[in-house]
Amino acid sequence: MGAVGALRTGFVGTRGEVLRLSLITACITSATLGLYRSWMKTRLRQWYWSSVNIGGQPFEYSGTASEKFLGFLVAISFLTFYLAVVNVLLMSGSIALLYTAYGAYILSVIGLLPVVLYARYQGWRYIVNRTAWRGVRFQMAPGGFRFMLLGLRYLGASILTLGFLFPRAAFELQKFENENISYGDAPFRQGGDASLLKPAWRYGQIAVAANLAVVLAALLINRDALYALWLTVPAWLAAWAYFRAERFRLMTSALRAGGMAFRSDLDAVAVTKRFMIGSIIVFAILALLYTYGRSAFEGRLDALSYTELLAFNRDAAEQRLFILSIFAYACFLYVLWSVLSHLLIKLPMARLFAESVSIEGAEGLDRVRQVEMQTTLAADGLLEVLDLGPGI
Amino acid sequence: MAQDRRGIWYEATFFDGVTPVDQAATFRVEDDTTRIVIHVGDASLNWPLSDLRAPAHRADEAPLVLNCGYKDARLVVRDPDGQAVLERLAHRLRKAPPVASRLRYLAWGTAAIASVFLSYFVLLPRMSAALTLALPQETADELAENALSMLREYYASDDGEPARICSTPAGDAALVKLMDRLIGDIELPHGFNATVIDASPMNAMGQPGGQMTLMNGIFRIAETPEQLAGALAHELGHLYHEHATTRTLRRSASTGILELTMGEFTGGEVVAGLSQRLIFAEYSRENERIADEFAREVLVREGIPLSAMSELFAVLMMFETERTGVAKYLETHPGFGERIAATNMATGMKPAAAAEPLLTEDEWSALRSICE
Repeated sequence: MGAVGALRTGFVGTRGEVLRLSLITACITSATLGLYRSWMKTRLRQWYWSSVNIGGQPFEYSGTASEKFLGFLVAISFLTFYLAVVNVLLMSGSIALLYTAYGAYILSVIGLLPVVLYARYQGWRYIVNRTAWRGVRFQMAPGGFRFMLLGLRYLGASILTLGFLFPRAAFELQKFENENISYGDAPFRQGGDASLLKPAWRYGQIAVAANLAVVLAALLINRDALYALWLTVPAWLAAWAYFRAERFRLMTSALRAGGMAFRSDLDAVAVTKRFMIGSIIVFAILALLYTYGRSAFEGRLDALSYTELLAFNRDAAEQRLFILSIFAYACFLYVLWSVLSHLLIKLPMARLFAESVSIEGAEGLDRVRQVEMQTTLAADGLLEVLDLGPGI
Repeated sequence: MAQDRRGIWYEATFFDGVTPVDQAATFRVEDDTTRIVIHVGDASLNWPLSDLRAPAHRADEAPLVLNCGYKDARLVVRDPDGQAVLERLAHRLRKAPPVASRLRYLAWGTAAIASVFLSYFVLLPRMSAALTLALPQETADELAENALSMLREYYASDDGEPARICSTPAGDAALVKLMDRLIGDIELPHGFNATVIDASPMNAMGQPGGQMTLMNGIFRIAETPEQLAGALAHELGHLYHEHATTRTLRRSASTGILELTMGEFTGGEVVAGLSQRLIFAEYSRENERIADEFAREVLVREGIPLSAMSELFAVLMMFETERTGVAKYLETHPGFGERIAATNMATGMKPAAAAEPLLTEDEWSALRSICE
């Protein structure tokens, strides 16, 4: 008996479940100084994947935490070297030309860009290759290096044109990724052309212009103009959320694989609203607690008289207690942040995106065949340390 | 769920792992609880209970997706009773697949630690030092000028004016004479310039680009030209190694590396921040020791007794606040006690020539009153 007609997607995960799982795993992560991170991510991914179903059949995430952890170790081994060398060269260049290291902080982001692009592709590839549906695996072909070159070219052009060419860049990069994916032996084919995302970027373009105007005003007229960033940066975030939702809807709706056609009726305005409300609440709570904690700890030191300070400087036990209490507070903030961001941002987003998709021509499934597993994957978790796959 | 003479049959969906086509199936647990029997169409499959696996976490509403020994075929169980039976009897259901090779973990773990260690303690300091010494002279001059004006801003008077530069013909001449004697034929990487500013701290600083800045307060504790020479020879050591610029370069280049490895916004951030400070304090103390050693060699070369240096340290020690515990490791300078001990250890270093006085009485008093 084959699958027939149109299939709708569903999402069955609930807040209570994600609250419990993120709370437990975040606590272990902070208690292990972050070493547990790979396990935390893997456990949450298994849960999120199982929550999404198409026509009643759930996704399955088969990645393991230990291979992710190995990817982390590999990434650290290369990345610290790379960053140390690239940073020191960039900074000395900045000092030689601008007489300060500040200019190079911007440059060091550029030094990281090739790594970020490569890591993004590899991160996605790892996730895709560890995802199965109806017992058949998805596959993503190697291509991290080509993706990096493509990305540098397109993003470079976008930056030079102050964002004007960005929708084109976003389309080409997403197309490159999508067309490297297949479900079993059925390759994904991306329809649409480079102008597809242009309308989706209009708010983004305005927000980019507004931010640039603020920075220019600060440089040329008055530094206080920078306060306007409190308005323009959130506006940019909202425009970015809108763009991503529209990109998902438009690109998914132009996607085909083995006789199947995908559709998404994602409501970008609803996504933007949800994302902004969630982000503002999470940011406000965390910012408040962070500021409060910081001033409490600093206040405790400031309140010491000179003789008390001298005593504190000599009292190792007292110092240890002080540092431990800062650490404990930081752990508390991390756990709170993890739980809130899953509860208020990631879960609602996953639900909105997942529930928007449907597949037509599901008869095409009958012709799909499993493809042999690529065995060299373990080390491809490489650079997951930058974690640029989906937010989950 | 149905029952026949062989036991309870649960409904499920079967995927053969070759095509994504779903097939209706039923399964039951064999009486000896060693395996389950699956009926798909006319076929019958046996899956040992000990080989059954499923992802460790799933949504409460999601079905149980089983595989046998990590192979591709799937049995999707929606029936809560069927799920319950399997959860109870398949005791290795949540077992993760075996780790490929423990040796690989050990190797990459070692590589990761070695990489962090080498980057922080070998690569960054060596490259920073080499690149700093290679900076062009114009850059060095600009850095020197910026550093001096920043220090003057820092010690600005109450009405906001930057700290005054002190200069009198006799005082300047005395300073030049003293420094010429200390520098001798040492080649400084980016030239040399000495400036006295009207600021109260009892200190002198070796700044970037060959800039040495004396704060007027130093004349309150240096009782003889020899004691002052001890302090200035120390600063000369910083200039010789361009410590100030190297430190800026090293510090800015290392931004973010530890945070990256510790990850996101965790307690790890606190640990990374603290480790960063400990590393830099240690690095700074090391530089001070290098500069002290440089100073001792200069003094010995010029026949100035090292006791002049330890006398100055002894005076400064009275202003020092003692620290122990973690706080000790956050200090940027070694304690004066340690520095005096190091100086005394070196008193075996005999002056090369009989000491000729560094400055005459008149020159010394002209230098001391340069800011008046």
